[in-house]
Amino acid sequence: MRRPTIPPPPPVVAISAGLGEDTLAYGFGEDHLRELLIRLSRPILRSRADLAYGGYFGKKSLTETLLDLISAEQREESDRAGFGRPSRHRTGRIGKLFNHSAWPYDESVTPALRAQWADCCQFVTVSQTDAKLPGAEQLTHARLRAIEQPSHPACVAPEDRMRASFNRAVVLSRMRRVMLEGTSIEVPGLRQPVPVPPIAARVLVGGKIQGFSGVMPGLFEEAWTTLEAGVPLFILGGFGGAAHQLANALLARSNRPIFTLAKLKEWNPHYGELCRAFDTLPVPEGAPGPARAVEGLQACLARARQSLARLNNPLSQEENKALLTTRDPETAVALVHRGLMKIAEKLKPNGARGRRAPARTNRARTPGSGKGGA
Amino acid sequence: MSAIAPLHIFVLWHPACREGGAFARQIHRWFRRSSGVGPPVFFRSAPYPHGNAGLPLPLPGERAAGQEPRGAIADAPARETFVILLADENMVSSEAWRSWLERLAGPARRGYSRTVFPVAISPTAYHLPASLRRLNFIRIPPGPAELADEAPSPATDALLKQLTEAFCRVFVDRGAPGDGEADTQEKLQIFISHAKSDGVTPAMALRDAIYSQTQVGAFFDENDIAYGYQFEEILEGALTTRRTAALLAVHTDAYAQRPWCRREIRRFRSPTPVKPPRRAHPSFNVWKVHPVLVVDALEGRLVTRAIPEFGSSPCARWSAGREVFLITALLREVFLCHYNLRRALGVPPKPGRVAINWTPDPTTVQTILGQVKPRRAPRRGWDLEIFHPGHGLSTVELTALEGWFPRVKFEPFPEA
Repeated sequence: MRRPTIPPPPPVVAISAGLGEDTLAYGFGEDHLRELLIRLSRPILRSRADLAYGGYFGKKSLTETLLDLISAEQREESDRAGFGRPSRHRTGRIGKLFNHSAWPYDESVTPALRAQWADCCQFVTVSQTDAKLPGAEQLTHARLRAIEQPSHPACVAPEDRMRASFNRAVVLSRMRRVMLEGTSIEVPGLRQPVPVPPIAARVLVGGKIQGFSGVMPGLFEEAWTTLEAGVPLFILGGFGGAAHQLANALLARSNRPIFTLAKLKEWNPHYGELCRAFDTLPVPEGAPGPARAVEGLQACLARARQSLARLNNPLSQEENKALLTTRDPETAVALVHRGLMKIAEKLKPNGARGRRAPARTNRARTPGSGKGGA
Repeated sequence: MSAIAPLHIFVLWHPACREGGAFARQIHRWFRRSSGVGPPVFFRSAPYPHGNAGLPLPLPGERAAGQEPRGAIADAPARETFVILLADENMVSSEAWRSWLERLAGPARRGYSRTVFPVAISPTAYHLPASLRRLNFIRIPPGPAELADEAPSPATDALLKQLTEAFCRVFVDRGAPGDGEADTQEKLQIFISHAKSDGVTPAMALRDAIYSQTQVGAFFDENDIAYGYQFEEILEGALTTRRTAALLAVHTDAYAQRPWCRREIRRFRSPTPVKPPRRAHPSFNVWKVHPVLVVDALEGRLVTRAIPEFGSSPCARWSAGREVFLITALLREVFLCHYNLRRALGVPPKPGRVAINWTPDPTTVQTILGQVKPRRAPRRGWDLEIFHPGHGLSTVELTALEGWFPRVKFEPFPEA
């Protein structure tokens, strides 16, 4: 008997957004960013694509904004389908959110939260084990709190602080890789693991540059890994934050490195300690250290500076320049959507058959995948 | 498709002004609306990182004192700019800010206009430079900008009320192409439509609030039609004069059964084509509707009917003490109607394309189709394209409209 064909999973668009320290200096506040996020996301969701977003979850957070949006769109779609009415604006499925969170932020992903958003969101948590930190080097949440919020700061040993910042950075880097490359989530009782596809494109807007916890500001690391992997990247540089810094670096005339270890130390007073941790402690396989990350970013930016086609998105040189500099949200949204539509056209199956379902076998659980699931 | 934006709003406050950010946030939420039907609202407070002598990013069309980053595209100015100054002691005492504000109070570039609305956050606001002191300041009661849950406070309510009235006045006074000559001497007027049998109490409370707490006038037939005068003639004149900015429909139990009330709302809310400007494209096709706010004062003593003429008009519940809020909400509709009319005028004309200044609903779309008579274009999938305000209709609204009008495509305005 012919095995059923599994349709390819819908594409995933990652959005990296956050209020930068200087977002207000460019004329925008949190509500502007929220509106921009909604305007970017809604057409993506309605065209059946999924979103990936790695923000923290809290009241009035951007993650909550996205989940409210998806929930509202799903309700509307279900109402429309209930009337049995076709629409040229609907294809019958609303995308969902893949929310990636790294230790220790995964503590906030409680069963109640998973249950509340079960229809809208696949939570993907990345643990210290997933980041290949040996058990003996892992820290519990309680231990971490004791190190970072001590009742007596003088009692905290420097090596404990170093270990805490090292583990945070390593797990954050692993989370970004998982988002970029995809993973799968084993669910007891399901024959097949739940796939978390790799992203098809990434959009960057705003983002903090100070007080970061990773090997560099989060949007910088995401830009670096995305460019290195050849995944299309859209940078909205007119709204301040890390995205604006990246935009400036891409438009700079000189090839002098802009983001150096010294510069990052200015932005994060604890960065020196992190650099020492990477020199001192055993680094798990695949975890980039600060020096490698900074070099990698500089190299990618230098190549893209020669031609913005190295951003791998379908926009022209002029359109990318406009996206890097415009402060008009309407223009920025229109350019991103233009680029994403071209990517979607390329990703269409065009009659190609999907992947065949595997024959029924007893499959062993595959170790080392991102943990999560309903 | 791109055109010059009709309006940008800028809110300026000194970074040390404690309440500035909260006031700005409320202003943005009030005028922009979450659906994006309102104009863009931008902030100017934090110093611009790339120069400008410690001042915020310059307004579009202004030259920065420092260097713009290389390759940056300067923002295009909108046709009109409203500048809201949240003036406190920090702004007044800063030499850099005073000098900047004096430049802003001066004339804008040729072909563009800029209007400054100073708000006295503190009593020292009146010590701003002379060019600004001449203006009529918006005065608000002392107090925080927001309550604990980020809801607007009484100070913010007062600010939004006065700003809304002021914006309305400027926009209606300037008029739009096809609107006829502006007459700036007369007050704006709100027509209060109500049923005599059970709507007089809320209607009178609204009328009294309009006269005592706003700078607009009210048309209230009991007072404004002299005894012995022709009722119908005066009413028709009041409904169609340019100074009648909006209509408040006091929806009580008896309203649906009153022919005059239905006529008033139908007349006021009928879409009318905008007169093409000189040398307009032959495909110019813009329609407008006057703003209406439905005040729900149903008591439930009778089983009444829904009124299709209300269409997509906003609706708010009546209760004693809410009059000022209701009037401010209506004046915001007036402002947004005029703003969106300007946006509709900026949609490039094309055969089979119509631009409107309101959120479409079946009643008003049917009226347009009765007069436009689109040509069939079977290959295209639709015969008529209607551009409307906002970021886009919800799926429920779109699906309903598509069901009524399968050969019509509904699109939000293209970016300006």
